Amino acid sequence: MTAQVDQNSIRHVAKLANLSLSEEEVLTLQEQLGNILAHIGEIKQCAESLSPRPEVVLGEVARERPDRVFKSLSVEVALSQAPAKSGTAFLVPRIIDIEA
Amino acid sequence: MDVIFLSASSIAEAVKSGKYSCLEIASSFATRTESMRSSLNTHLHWDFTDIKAQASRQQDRVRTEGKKMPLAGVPVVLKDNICTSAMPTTCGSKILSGFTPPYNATVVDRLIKAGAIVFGKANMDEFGMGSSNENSAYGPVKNPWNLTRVPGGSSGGSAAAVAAGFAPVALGSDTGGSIRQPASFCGVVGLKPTYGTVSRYGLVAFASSLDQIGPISRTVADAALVFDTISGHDPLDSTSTSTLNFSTAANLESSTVKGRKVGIIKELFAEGLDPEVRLCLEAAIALYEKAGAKIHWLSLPHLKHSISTYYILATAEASSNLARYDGVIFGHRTSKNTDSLTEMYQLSRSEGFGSEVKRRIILGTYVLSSGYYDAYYGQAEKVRQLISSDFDGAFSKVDFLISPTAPSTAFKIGEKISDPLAMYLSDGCTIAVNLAGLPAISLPCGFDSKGLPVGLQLIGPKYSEQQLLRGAHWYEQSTSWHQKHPGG
Repeated sequence: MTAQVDQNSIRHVAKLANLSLSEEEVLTLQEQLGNILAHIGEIKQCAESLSPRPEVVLGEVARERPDRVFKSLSVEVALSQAPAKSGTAFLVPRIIDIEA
Repeated sequence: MDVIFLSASSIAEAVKSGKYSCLEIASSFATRTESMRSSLNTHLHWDFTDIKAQASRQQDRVRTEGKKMPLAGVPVVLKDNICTSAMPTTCGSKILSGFTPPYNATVVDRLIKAGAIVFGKANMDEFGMGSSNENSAYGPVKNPWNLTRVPGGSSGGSAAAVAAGFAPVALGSDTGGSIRQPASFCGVVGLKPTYGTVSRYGLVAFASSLDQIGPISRTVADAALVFDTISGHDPLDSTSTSTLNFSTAANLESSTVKGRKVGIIKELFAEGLDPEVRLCLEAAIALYEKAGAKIHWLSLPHLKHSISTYYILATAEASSNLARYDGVIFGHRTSKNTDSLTEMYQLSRSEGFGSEVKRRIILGTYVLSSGYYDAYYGQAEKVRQLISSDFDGAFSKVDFLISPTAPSTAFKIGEKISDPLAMYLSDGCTIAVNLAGLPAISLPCGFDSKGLPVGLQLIGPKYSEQQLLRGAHWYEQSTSWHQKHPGG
């Protein structure tokens, strides 16, 4: 049995995930996700009502530490792997339109 | 000089006593690695010049610090999702091709402090997503027992390297079985520790509530030695356990199972288990019983939901963790001209990620999206608690649990890659352990009629690594499976 997942849903989710999919990929994912969701969708039938409490499973989580300044990466090291940079900044395409 | 199949502890003792130098050990393993690694495709990074430099530095330390170096001169292969500042870390992905981290993972620093030599970076399924090591952007790894078979995944390169004698130990990571299953397929030992006992600082995140680093080795004693070295509180990891004050390597020799209560998980001995795997497991159970262990068959009723629960929670966490790969700060950026930042993100990510990674990101985003969050993610979080409670109930009756590590032996390369759901369904024996945060170890327990290894999995309560490894060590020393190597 396959769950119904329409192509527009695939495209919408891809947009949310910042992925650009070809039409062939959309078609393939529609079928594959349909099969996967049909299988994992059985979890919706689990009737027990519980509040999710991650600490029950994981123990102490998100432990806090003192708010103290410490030495971190230098600007030079932080920029060293950047695909594009200028001065102390990471270069990216324009994000603000400037009218002439 | 035949050191290839010496244990890590024997190598360290030989180096500290002066019988061998770090360079002699490194050269022996390097000769073997360089002659075979291409045919198995185990490594994504290999640099013998760097290895020789490491050997020299460690040798200088042996004279004055030998007593504090339990892994003196021991080669250790690292899965390529563990950050190393001296060599690239690609996670088996094009999106991180050439990326060199600015820091070491905590486990790397601890290994080096203990005297180990980093013996290259191992091939893996991209970002830890896979069960066969066929999802690497750099080609599949081959199983040393049969080159037409997968080594398992996602730590396939690490497991294959140890099985092939490239190093006595390796590190892998395990989110849903990715240490244990390749250890099973490659006939070696693989330990997934209790969640929080080994620092995740410097482990590239896949699913942060499930990931753990652990050792892959040829013996349980070596797994214990490496676990003792890499485990312990790390202030850099907010999920790191506060207190951990036991040694697992000590007192292994006095291991006994007489009087121990051993549980067998009924659901993992059901339909779908390969008959030859079942035979090997039944023989192992009989051995425990003959030695005085009390066998109890137990049901974990919510285990049937573990694959669904895992593939909702893990993909949801992955969709968030992998959002950082956008071509801005590091990693692949598209070379196409783009009109907007969003377009740059989309093209960079689509060009850089492989199909399995994209599939899981899409699935994880879907189950978190408006209208579906409660039905999928919300529900999976609740079922996770139920699965964990099943284990708690089991451990109120028994000391540890036994199951097969995988429902089959290593399948053929290409057999399942075009059917993602079939691949996911093969994870049923290992996944629930990660959902509950428990420790589990796989060790060899026989071979099938094709000569492929079969893995036995032991699962313990949280922080029970000491007794778990004793139970595993007893079985290993009562059999000779660990003495078998591919090719002889």
